[in-house]
Amino acid sequence: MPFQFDWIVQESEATVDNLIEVKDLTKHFPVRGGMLQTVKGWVKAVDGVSFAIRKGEALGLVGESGCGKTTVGRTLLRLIEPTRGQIFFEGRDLTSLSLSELKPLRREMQLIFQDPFTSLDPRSQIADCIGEALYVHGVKDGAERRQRVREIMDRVGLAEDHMRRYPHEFSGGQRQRIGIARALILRPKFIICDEPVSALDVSIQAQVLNLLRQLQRDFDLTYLFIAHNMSVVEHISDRVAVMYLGKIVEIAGRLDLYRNPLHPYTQALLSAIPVPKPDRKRTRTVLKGDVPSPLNPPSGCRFHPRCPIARHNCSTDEPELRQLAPDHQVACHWADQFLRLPD
Amino acid sequence: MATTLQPDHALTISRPENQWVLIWRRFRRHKLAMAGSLVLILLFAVAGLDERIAPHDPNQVRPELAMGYPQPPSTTFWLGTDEVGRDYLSRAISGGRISLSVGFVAVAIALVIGVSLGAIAGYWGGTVDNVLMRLVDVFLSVPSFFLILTVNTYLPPSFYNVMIVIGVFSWMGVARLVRGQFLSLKEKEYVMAAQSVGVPGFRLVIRHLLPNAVAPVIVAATLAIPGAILTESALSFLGFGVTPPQASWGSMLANAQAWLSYAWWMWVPPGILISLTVLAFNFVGDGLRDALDPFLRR
Repeated sequence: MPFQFDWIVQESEATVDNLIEVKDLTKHFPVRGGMLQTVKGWVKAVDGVSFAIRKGEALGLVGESGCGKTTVGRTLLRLIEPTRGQIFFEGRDLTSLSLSELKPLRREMQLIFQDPFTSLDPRSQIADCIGEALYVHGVKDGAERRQRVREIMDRVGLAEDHMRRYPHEFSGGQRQRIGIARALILRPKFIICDEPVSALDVSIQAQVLNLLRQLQRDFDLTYLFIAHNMSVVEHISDRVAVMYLGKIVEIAGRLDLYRNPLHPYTQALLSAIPVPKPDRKRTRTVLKGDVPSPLNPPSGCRFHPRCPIARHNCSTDEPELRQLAPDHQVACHWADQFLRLPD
Repeated sequence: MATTLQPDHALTISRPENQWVLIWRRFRRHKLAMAGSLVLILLFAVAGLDERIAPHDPNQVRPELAMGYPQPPSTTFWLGTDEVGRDYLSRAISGGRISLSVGFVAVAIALVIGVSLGAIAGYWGGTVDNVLMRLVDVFLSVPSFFLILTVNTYLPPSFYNVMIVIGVFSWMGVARLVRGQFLSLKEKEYVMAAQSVGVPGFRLVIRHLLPNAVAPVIVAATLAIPGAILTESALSFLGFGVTPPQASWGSMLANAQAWLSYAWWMWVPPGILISLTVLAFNFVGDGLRDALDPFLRR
């Protein structure tokens, strides 16, 4: 199907052109202990997450450390096998494919890692590191591979004489460019950016973010952009999903979410963004307590022990994602009271 | 702000740096290791040249000269002779050839077995890992020297058998080491990155896991060679090593047993040579560990 822009005006989910659809994605990690390494419990890293990513958009996925963002990203590529749920890529269910059936699809979906210092093999030269994907996917001719590596390195701002170097000779920003080149070399349609800038200096972050945006336009890419920094997500995303303890609590268009957050957790996150205006009065929602353990998440709404508006039913009933405004879903029993009609 | 932002690729150092060059640079600073390598090079050169520089035939007996007693060092026989009149210097040289090749070949065999089994156990994990590691435990729980001794009594005495048997019974440490390395390496993000582009398991092991596990294996191998040399010496000392006319450092020591107080020249040279070789290998191993280590931490 050709690329369509008309989803912007269409409201109905059915006609929207989704590249990725995730249904009830769940990943529970076993916790083993004792002499016999028996399973003592389950870390509910991702617990029934559903969302869709439209062709050509960047979906931001935000949340605190340990809320399951990275696990969502890795299960999408089946680098971690999901416990339950389905992942549709262009209508094909990835969870039903065997690993060998999955291999051709690996060309279409790639991952950019958070830490550019651990995600590059210290004993591989840059050209091999980027070009290996080509080799594995059938480009056995060395000259052709070098040519394509050279092209992609040029696109991400690396010089040709970097090809024969080793990762330790590069700075963080350059290493992340190498990681981006490695993800792009197969010309994928979908890239998961797993906190691609959070390990970088602030001065480099903007460069890399702009590069990612430029590449998205040039290669018609669809992004799942995972981050914990609300400003970074605002910069790059079209829509934003907010995760808390393995669940999506709110998902909406970027402007909508930042101007009119409906979930109390999202409001707290947004109020924590520093604003460089010292004289401005701000109302900050400061959350009490720590994130509960995903080993034993709270009953009902997982956010209720820390929620400023929690009521009687919040500790017993688990809220479903509800559509409260066009393209704006929230999992909160009491979010309606924040609802403002768009002005 | 006065600083200007340069394009990102203008910031790299333009000096090509091969990592082996860096390792060599760090190794060179380690004085004992350098001395050790020098000693080893010398020993290998002498052992390699063997009969070309040996003053006499190591196996030629001269009963008329010896008259049943070891002869002290003289201008013709620099290290004297044994009780049947064989030149001791020539025997030490040819014995060194045997001892050093036993050390190398035995460790090479141990490396092949240990690296393969360790890699399999570490990469696949689970039941395979459990079975292989229990096998390691079994091998380790038997005192290997006595096992080697026993096996050697059943095999025709030849120094090839000694090499093979020592190798086959000393791979366990390497297997454990490689397994441990693989267990930690396969959790690295670059391994996941390779998996995410669809790199198959075998290639992953060869291209990404083994190269990153090679440094500690080199160190372990260097430190295992003197062990194999000592085992061979001990076997030969007990009479289970090389076949009689052939000398090895261990068999020379065994030979000297009967003349300990009478003929010092029979046990001092092979003793010194064994100690020197073992010491030199250990220093080189230490130096290699220091030189290779920064790459492990990177």
